Amino acid sequence: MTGSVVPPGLLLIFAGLLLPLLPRALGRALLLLAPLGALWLIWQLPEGGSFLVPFLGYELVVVRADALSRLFGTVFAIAAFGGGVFALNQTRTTELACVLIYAGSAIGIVFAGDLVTLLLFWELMAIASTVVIWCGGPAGQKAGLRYAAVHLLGGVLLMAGVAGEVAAAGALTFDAMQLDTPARWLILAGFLVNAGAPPLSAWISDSYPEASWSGTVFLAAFTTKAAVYVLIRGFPGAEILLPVGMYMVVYGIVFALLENNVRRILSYSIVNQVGLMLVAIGIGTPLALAAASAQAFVHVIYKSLLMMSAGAVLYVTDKRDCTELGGLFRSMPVVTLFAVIGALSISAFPLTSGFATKPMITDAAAGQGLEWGWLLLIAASAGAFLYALKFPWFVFFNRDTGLRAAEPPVTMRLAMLLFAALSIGIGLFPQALYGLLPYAVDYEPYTAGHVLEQLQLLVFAGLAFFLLLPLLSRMLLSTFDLDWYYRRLGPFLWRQLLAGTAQVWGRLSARLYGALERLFTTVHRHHGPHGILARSWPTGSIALWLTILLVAYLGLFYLG
Amino acid sequence: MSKFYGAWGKTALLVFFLLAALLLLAELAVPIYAKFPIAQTFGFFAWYAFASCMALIVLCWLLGLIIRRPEDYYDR
Repeated sequence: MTGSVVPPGLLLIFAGLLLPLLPRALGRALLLLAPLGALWLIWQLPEGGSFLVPFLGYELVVVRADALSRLFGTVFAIAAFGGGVFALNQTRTTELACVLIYAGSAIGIVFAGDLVTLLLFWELMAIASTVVIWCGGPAGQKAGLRYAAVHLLGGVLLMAGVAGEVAAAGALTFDAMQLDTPARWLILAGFLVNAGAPPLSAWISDSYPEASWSGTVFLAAFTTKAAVYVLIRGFPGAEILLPVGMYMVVYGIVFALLENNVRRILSYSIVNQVGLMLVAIGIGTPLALAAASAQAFVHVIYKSLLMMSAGAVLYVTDKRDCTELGGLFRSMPVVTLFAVIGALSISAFPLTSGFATKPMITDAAAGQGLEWGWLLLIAASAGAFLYALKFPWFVFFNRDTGLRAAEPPVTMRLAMLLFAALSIGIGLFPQALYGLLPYAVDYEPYTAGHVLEQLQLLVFAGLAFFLLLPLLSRMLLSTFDLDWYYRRLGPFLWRQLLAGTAQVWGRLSARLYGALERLFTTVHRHHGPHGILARSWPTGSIALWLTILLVAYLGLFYLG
Repeated sequence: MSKFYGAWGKTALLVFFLLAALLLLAELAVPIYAKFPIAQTFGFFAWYAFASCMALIVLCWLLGLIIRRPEDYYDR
C-alpha cells in the first residue's frame, strides 16, 4: 500500500535523473523547483509511516514523518535550494544532476522508517556525493576515489550490522537502539564513518576542498548531518559518543588552526561542529537532543554560507590558500559581509543563529553535572572563534596582496543573501526554530547574563587571536593527518608485499625447477634411450642367463 | 613583527583591547549565573577563554612544527 504519498527524497532523485536530458534553461529551472517541491511535500506528509512497500516478507516504510525527520528534511531541502541558486553558473551538468540525487538520498535517509530503506539511500548518497567530488577536476578525481573507499567501508559496516540486526530481532524498524549486540555496534560504526569520527576523520578535509566551487557547498551540508540525524534517531544517550565527540571537537579546532587551504579550514570546522553535536547526543537528555538537532539545522545554513563565500573567492580569483589571499574586502565587500556573518554565526555571536543553539549544548552538559566536559566545551567555543576569525581575516583583510577581484555573479550573491538572512533571522527569532524541534524546549538565550558571558568569551578569544597574530601567520601549513596511513603507509606496505611475494616466489620456483630437473635427469639416466633398463641386450647373453637359471632349477630339484 | 600585522592588524588588536575592557566592566553591572564554583569567579568567561586560546595557539604552533608536511608531499 503506497497510498497517495510522494516520498520527497524520490522526487529529488527523479529530478536529478531527468536533469541531464533537459535543455540547459529547463534543467536549471528544475534544479531550483525540485527542492521547493520536496520542501512542500515534506510539510504535506501525514504523521507516522506511509509509502509501505513489501520486500522479502518484510514491509519497508519508505516514509516515516515526525518532528525530527521533518526538521532535518526541511533544512536539507533549504540547503539544496540555496545551493542550487549558488550553482546556477556551474557548467558541469553532471554535477548538478548528482547534487539533486545527493540531496534526495539525504532526505530519503531522514524519512526512512526501516533499516533497509535507510541502507539503500545511504549507499546512493555515497555514490552521488562521490561523483560530485569527481566533478572538481583531476585532484577531485583522486580524492573522490579515496572518499569512495572510506564510504564503501562505512557502507559494508552498516550492511553487516543491518543484516545481523534483522537476523536477531526479526524486524527492520529503525528506532532507538541499545548497544547490546555486535550488530548494533556495527551499525553505530557505519554511522560514525559518515560523521567523520576517529580514526577516519580525515576523509572530510581530504575530499571536500577538492570539489568544484559549487560542489563543496552541497558536500558540507548533507553527509555529516545525515549521520547526525541517524545517531539522534538510533543511539540517543550512547555514552561512547561523549569521548568520540570531544575528540572531534578538539581535532577540528587544532587542524583548522594549522591549515592554509581556505576550504580545508572550513572542512576541519565541520568535524569540530559535528563533534559538538555528538557530545550532545551522548548526553542524551531531551534538552541535549533538541540542542543537537537545532545545532545541526543552523549549522547546515551557516556552513553552506561559509562554503559559498570561500567558493565565491575561488570562483573569482582561482586561489585556494590563505597565503595567496588577503585584502579582498575592498574589491569584494558583499562577499566579505556574508563571510563575516557566517563566521559570527558559527561562533555563536549574539543575534546570529549559533547563539540560539550552541549555548544549549553547554547548558545541557552543565545540567548533567559534567564539569570537565563543560569546561572543555567552553574552551572549545572560544577556540572555534579562532578559526572562524581566521578565515575572513586572512582572506579579506590581513594585508593587501594587490589582488583585485570583482564580486561574483548575482545568483551567487543572492544565495548567500538568503542564507545570511536565515542565520540572522534565526538569531533574532530563535523561538521560531525551537517550535520545530522534536522536544519542547524551555530555553531563553537572550538574558543579559547569557549575552555578556558569550561576548566576553568571544572578545577575549579574539584578543588572543590578534595578540598572537604573528604566530598564527606562521601556522598556515599543510599537515600530516591519520590519512597518511592509507595514502602512504598502506600503499608502501602493499608494494613491499608484492615485491616480497615476487622474490619468495622466484626462489621457490627456482628450487622447484632444480628438483624437477634432477628428477628428470635420473629418470633419463635409467630409462632413457641409453639407460641401463632400456638398452638392447645381445641374444647370446640371454641364452647364457637362461642356461644358468635351468641349471640352478635342476640343482634345487635334486636337492629337494 | 609588524609585517605580520599588515595594514589592519594593529587597529583590530586595539579594538579588541577596548571591547575586552568594556565587557569586563560590564560584569560589574550584569551578574553572570554559573553552575560550577570555578565559573563563579569574576570575569570567568573572559580569563578562561583568553587563557585557553593563548595555550591552544601556542600548543598548535608547536604541534605544527612536528606534523607539517610539504604541500606536494602526496603528489610526489
